[in-house]
Amino acid sequence: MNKQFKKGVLDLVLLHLIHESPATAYELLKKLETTLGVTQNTIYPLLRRLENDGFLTHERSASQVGAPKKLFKLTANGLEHYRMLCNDWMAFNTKIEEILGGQCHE
Amino acid sequence: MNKETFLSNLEIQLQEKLTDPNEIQDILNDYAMMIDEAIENGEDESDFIASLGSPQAMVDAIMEETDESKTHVTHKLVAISPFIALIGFFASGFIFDAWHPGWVWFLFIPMSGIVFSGPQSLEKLVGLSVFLVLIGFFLGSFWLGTYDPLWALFLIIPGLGFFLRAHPIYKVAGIYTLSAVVIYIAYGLIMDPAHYYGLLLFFPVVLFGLMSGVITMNIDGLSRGEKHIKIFGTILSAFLIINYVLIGYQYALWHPTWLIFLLIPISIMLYAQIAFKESIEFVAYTPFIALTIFFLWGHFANAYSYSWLIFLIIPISGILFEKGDA
Repeated sequence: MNKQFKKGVLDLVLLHLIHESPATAYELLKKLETTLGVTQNTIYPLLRRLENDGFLTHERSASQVGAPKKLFKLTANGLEHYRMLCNDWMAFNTKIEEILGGQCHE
Repeated sequence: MNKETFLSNLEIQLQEKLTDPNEIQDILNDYAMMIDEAIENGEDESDFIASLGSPQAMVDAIMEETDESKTHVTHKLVAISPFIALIGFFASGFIFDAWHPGWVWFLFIPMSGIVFSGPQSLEKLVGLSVFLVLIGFFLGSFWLGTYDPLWALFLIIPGLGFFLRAHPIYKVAGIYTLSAVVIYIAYGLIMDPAHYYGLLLFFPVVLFGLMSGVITMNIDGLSRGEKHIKIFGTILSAFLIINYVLIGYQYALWHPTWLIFLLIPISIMLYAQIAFKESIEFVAYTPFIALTIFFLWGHFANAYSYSWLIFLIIPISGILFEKGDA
């Protein structure tokens, strides 16, 4: 997938997945590396930024090996930001669909 | 590569870019957790680490996102910095008749760019030190009426560069360099105006720079044109430094003869453009031209109150010679 497409929507995708269920960076990577072809070098910095911006927080959960896991969760601001991004995306997607008419020219 | 080696390499890369030890530890813990979780899920340790990519690429990606997060606020602060500098310059000139060295207010513009833009990194401190040293040098020399021995302030920059490196030997070299600067300046000002033998204090600094590879002339891996440019730049720099010191000591002409150092970037830019057959961009040279005229005009005609107008050639030439995007 085009890199610029991905860069624009990864915030939304991560917030969406975390909204569905709190997740670790590793779990998010596993969900996205096959579908979107992203690497941990993309996901981890985004998670840090979203946490620094106050959209995510984390809690610790026990691990069988080594240190406890870090589970990312949405904050109230994060939920609001997610809803805004999601609405923007839906509106944008609808308009693009209207233009493309559901198909790409050969 | 195993987890310990990977984390150790990552730590070295993080120390190059970040100032906060808690932030460094936090990132290391996060990556340690990720590796543990991968092993817990049956992945091979070295395969998973290899899939993460190089530690340098990781740190670059983290810094890029940190930068993006702060961009909105910082752009505004950087954008208003020229106005703050102009207000400061006019206030210094009209209220205190200090057009010189009141122009140092203009150094606030690049300094705000360094402080408020980009990720917070140790490199920033070194970059900032260049301007702080310039301010100290011009204010100090204005009040004391002498540029010598204050020129030694510029050695704070490599001293700080040594000190901020992680290895203890660099820290020792940094402390030595910074101490040598203080001793040289204090001794020169207070005890002995003819303090030339004090220059020997800096001999170990140069020796350390050469032995540690900080001062190096490595041209391996460069193209033929790049090698020529590097050799040309090095010879020109050495020639200008030697002449500057000789002229400075012989005729006490430390200012504004330092302007000859602007020949280094100008000559290298010209050399590169000719060597690589690129078109010569006049706009790129206007900051150097403006700076030279500003100081020569201001110094010899005591005209700092209006010589600053020459800086307007930078935006004017930018508009006149701007190339279209098409």
